Amino acid sequence: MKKPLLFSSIFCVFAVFANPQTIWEGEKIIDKEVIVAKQDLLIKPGSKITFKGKGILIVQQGNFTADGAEFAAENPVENQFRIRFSNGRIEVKNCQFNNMAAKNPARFLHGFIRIQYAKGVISGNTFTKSSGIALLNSNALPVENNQFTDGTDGICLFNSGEHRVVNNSFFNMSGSCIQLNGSASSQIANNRFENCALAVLLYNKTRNTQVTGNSVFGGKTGFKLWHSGNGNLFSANLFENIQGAAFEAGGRNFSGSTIYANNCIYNCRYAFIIPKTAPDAAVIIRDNAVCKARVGISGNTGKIIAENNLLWKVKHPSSVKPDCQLEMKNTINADPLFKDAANGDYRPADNSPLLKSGSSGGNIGLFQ
Amino acid sequence: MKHFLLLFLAALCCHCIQARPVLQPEVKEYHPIQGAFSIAGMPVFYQDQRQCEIGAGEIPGTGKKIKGFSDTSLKGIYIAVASSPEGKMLIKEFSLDVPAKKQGYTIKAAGSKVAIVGFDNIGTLYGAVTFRQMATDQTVESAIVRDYPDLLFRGAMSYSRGMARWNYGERDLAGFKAAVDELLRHKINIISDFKRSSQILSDAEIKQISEICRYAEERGFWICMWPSTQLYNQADKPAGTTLKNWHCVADGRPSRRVESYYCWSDDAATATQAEKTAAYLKKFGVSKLLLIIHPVDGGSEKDPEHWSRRCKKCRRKYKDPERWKAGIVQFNIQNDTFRKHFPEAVIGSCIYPYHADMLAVPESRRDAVFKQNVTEYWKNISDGIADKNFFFNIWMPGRSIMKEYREIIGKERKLNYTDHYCLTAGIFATYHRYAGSLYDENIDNIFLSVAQDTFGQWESIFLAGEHAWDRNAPGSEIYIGGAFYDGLKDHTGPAVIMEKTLPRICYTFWGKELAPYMTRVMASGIMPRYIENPASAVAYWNKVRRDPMYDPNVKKDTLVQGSLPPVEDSPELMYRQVTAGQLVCEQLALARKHLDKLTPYQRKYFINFARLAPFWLAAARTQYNIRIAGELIAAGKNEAALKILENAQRELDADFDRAEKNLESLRHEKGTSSRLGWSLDRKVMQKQLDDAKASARVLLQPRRIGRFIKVGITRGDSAEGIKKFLDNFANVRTTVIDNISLVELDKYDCVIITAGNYKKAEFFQNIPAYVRKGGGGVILEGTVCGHERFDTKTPFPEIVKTSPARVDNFRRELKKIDGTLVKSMYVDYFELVPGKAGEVTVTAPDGKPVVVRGRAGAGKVVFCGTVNLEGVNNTFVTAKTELFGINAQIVQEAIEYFTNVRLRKKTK
Repeated sequence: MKKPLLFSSIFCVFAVFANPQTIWEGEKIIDKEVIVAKQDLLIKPGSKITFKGKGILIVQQGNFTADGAEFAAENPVENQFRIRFSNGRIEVKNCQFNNMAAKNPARFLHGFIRIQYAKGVISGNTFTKSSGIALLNSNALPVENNQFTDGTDGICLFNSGEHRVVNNSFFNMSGSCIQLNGSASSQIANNRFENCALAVLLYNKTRNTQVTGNSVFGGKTGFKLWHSGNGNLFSANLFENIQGAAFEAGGRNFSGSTIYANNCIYNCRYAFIIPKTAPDAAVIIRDNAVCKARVGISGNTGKIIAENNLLWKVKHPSSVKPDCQLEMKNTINADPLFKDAANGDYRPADNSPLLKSGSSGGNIGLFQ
Repeated sequence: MKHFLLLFLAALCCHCIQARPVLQPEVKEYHPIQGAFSIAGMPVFYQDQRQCEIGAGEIPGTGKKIKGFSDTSLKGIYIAVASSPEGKMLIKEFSLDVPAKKQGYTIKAAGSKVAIVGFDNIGTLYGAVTFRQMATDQTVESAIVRDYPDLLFRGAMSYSRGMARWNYGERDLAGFKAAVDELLRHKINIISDFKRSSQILSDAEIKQISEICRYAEERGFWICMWPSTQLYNQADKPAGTTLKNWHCVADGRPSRRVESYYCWSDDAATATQAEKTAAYLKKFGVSKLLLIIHPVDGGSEKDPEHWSRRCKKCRRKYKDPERWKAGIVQFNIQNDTFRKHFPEAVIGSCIYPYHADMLAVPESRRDAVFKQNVTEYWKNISDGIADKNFFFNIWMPGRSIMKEYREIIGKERKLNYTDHYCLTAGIFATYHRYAGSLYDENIDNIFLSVAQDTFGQWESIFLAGEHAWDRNAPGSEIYIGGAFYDGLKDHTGPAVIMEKTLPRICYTFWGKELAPYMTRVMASGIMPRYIENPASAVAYWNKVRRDPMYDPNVKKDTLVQGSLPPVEDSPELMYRQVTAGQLVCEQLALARKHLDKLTPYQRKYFINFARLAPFWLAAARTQYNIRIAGELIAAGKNEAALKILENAQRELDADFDRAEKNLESLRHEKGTSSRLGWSLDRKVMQKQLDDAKASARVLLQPRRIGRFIKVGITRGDSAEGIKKFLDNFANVRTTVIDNISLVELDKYDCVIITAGNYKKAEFFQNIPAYVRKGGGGVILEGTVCGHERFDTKTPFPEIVKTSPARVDNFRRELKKIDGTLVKSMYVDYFELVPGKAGEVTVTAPDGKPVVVRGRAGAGKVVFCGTVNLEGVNNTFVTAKTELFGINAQIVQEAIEYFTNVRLRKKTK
């Protein structure tokens, strides 16, 4: 007798919360504030949404779905976001965003779209000459397989956690490609950065983040930690031809307990710049391969443990101030014998010293 | 006692064999008479008739050649045609029984007199050349010979690729005439493969060819030419005409500058083209022409001659089922024109489809289209062409199929049947034993050899002559369907040919001293084309070993041979070449002291073997060692493989040192060719060995994509278009690669294996290792997706099991998984059968899988059943165009799928 009651209860819940649907297809111009509230917005494949002047789109308390659509703006919008989404599920896939830039939309949030209190997925999109995506107060929303080209910022995770930011590629970005601000437990993996000002920024108590398998080619700075928190792991990342540092840490809160393992740093000016470490923090630099650098490890204060790293053709393997306690052990100074470093192949050849020389008998460098 | 008796019988047999002269082709009747006599200084009396005169000249070492005779009182050699007074006198006085058969003859040699009488002029000449063989040492065993051919047309040797090769380096008239003489003495009477009418010849060339034709015609030869039903070719087409803008059906290979333009509605142009061809042929002054009119080649039984693509005018004139009407008109116009200019010509056509084997399709599977395009077409054409001497040219079918074919085309229609255009791997092949398979008692059928043997493999062509002359010659077999040429057997057997016929051929061609050595060389089973390119040779063998028409329920003929299992290329197969190479080198070295009696042309032919054989051995041994090592690498025994390869290096050095030294010692000699063959080059073999060594040392690990995605594209027809397309991307670096060794593959993040032939061992060992262990991405294109043209297996059966069919797709559309139809580049595709781990991403419009992808170990694979070439003008003519349409999408998406890196277009 109870089953029909339960069924009818569920039906009632859906009946109450199911939103009406707004469907956009073909060309649509947004030249003023357009609000879609308490409705699901579906933008059909092949649609083209053009923003003009101060036109913005606000979608709230409903679902936002776009697949294979094109978004473009005639001009950058100032002091606000072009698109704001909150309180619902967002799925944006295989869309093109052209010239979707916003200047100074908020103090700590960079991007043309703000996504707040949301679930969903952002994948397979192309962002050209655009700012990026600001995820605010949203957890576990994957951002995958997107391409960002010639823009300012890429992905900003603010007060959000457990995100997967994977397999995205960034080219020629003038700001930070991925920025985590007060974020926790996210995974930044297998992304590619080419000629970008800053690949990844872990900011303001960002903690327990795993940054693994990323590749950074060219640009000014690789990964930066600023006022960041504890428990971050950087492993198996590749840095090639960075003008500044592959890793740079600092700020008021110092670099917390952090592990840098199995990274490969090739032809970068600096490998690890860790000026200050918190007194109770442990910074471990382990099993990394650093070739062709001016400075290997630089520190001012605190304790750094560096073990089983290969440093080859590094002018100053370490550069530390007296207040910095640097423990370097099992450092190898030999040609790593990559298969073809000149053509970007950093796998060890069969007679490479990287093989089985790691801290626990594993390999040094990218490949286990 | 028993053993003694056996020995005695053996000795008796030997005596008998020794007593009988070596005759090639073997004569039908040879009756020994007691005694022998010398012909040294003996006069030769011949009837005043051209072939008798030539025949007299063929008999060497005699006294005066005397034209005309009125009695036979003197000791001497008498030559005459049976119908002449001299012939009648010889028949009476020598009690001769001349076979009443065209080209037949009889010889009686007894009591220091010889009578040679032919049924006709050419028969008399054949009698004289036979007597030449009987009198090799100027001593003649007394005997009576009666002989005649079963097939009146036997051949052929290629003019431009056989005789010209023999005459390589000189191209003088004497060389060509010597080649004609040699063919005559083995009773071959067709020369084929002359210059095309579209080729512009100088006056000197025309003069020389005319003289060769005249010389050959006097010796009973037919000059085989292939006119076409085309209205224009690349040389005489209207200005501005291209394969793309021609209004009706066009065909050709722009890369070879061969173009053909067809149309069935312009009879005046057909007649004009026939007149042009006739005018061209007239320049050579030939009359005994064998003309085979070639219609449009292609479209199979589904759309023969690409009939569906004919122009509007043709459609108005002929409805869809009326191709036969158009054919009759065109063939009659050409036949009448050629007949007017060349009354003696033998004229016919390879009416399309020219495979009589089409009839192996069982009745139950012959739909209306099949009947319209095949059986009814053949019948209508045969009924419509009143001239029954207008022959049909077919690939030789099995005998029971021939029975049905005859029922369709009638009993009187003359036939020209050919071998199956065999691309023989060896230096001597025996499939010509089938030459007499389709003997018709009362019809002058033609056996035309068109295989690669005609490019100067003299011994093979002489074997063809033997079996066309006598359908019951030792070793003759009836072709019953299936593989016409079997690369594994036809270079070493059957034993009766290798042990009886081949020694005879070598005796008459190479001479008594050289014959034993050259017999061993020819029977060795050496296969230079396999050694030079094993993948290509094996792919071809397998193509001809399958019988796509095979149906065990219907045709017993095909059941016997049926579909032979595919040849698996293996180290053992290459090892046989090593042993054969050693034997050939030994025998040729021993034979070199007997070269003095050879003509300059035979000497060149010999020298070519002598130059090449040590390189064959060196290349075979190197490849054998690499294969052994490859198997060890595949089993993870890299250390053992390295030891094999170290030894291989020593053997390579020694073998090539010997080969090069030998080459140097023969530098003053001329050969029939200047080329060594690319894979016989030390550098090429050394590179393969180095690659193998590097592969043994390579440490396979999954890769990280660098700043640029490195894409290797194997060299093949489609490589150019793929490269052009990928070079549009800023983050891609492409390289066209020449091999798929592990060390080469490991250099690239992904590799595109274009449709082609690869060494099976490398293909099935290296590609899976590169993907599964090395994390690479591989696109397999077209035939290498499991199609029988390469191999029905795939290296990743969990993704694609096989590719059962090539399917025409003239709409050139394929369907993406979201249902959208996108233009494809080529006019066909390969249907795929996905495995458990295969994900279909593109299908044909009817839903058959065409592109399938999946993960394999650490890497990924995309099977791409569409070929990345453009079908020009919606035909099978290919163009190496930059990828577009769905082909471009497939390649781009595959690389992004492999690497997780989005391709970025170059900015202008």
